[in-house]
Amino acid sequence: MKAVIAFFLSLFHTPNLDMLTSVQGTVTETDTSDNKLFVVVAVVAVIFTGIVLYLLFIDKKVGRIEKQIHSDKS
Amino acid sequence: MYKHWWKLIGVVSLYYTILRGFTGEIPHLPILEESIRNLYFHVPMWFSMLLLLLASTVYSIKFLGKNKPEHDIIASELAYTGIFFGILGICTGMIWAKNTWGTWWTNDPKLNSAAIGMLMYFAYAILRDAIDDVEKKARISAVYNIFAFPVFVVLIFVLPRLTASLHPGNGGNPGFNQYDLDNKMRLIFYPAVLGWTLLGLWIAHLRIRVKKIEKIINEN
Repeated sequence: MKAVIAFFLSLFHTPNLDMLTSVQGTVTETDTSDNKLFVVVAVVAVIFTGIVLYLLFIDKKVGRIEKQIHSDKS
Repeated sequence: MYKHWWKLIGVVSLYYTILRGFTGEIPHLPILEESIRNLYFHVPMWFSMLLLLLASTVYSIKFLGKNKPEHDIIASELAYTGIFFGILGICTGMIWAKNTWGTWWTNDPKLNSAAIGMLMYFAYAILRDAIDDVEKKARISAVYNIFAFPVFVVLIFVLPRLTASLHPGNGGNPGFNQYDLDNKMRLIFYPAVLGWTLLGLWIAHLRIRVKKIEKIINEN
């Protein structure tokens, strides 16, 4: 189980976030730690989190109404 | 919680896609440059749409076989969600085209086929709205849906391959197989398709549940 979790965490590891970009198919080191790309990633992640929370909220709401209708019928 | 595992997989896949999609290694190609990252966002829209429409077709076939109203609801809501992803695919594709091909739209076989395909599915929605009788609506739209899907697949996957096309993967123009880092891109692309498809299924599932509630209320 630990190995599985470690594998999934490793998928999220992005070494090139701070050192790698590729040029002409070869990997070269450039200093991208201060190009602030991570800001865009963070912003998109926040927007996506908002959308997911919104979907969850609708999901719960529909679930509540389903229960209500079910109890009304019986 | 046990019923929601697939939603969780979808959401995690999409976080992975967003993180790696922006920061992962990409091959350096002229014209495309960083816009190649659209592979993780524009292309999965079409893949998700296709999978949703495929599921919709399966439920239309099921409906004609067993005549269960529930299958009609599932088929139509899956189709509507698929159409939504198709619209997003067209819009994102236009932005990408403007910045790589220099124009919002060209009369490329792939683009025109996609547009015709979308119009076919708009017609599906209009057809459903136009018929008041519930059973007739379900039967006619199921038959239409079953015919529309293969035609759509031929339109966007077969015909563009037979002629010259600007779009990658068509007319002798390779898809992302050509790139040096194709395997690294695949490692992000496939989770992206999975994630967007599961998100689409989640939205479709919500729509189906709402539709079922509406049906119960209308019957009482």
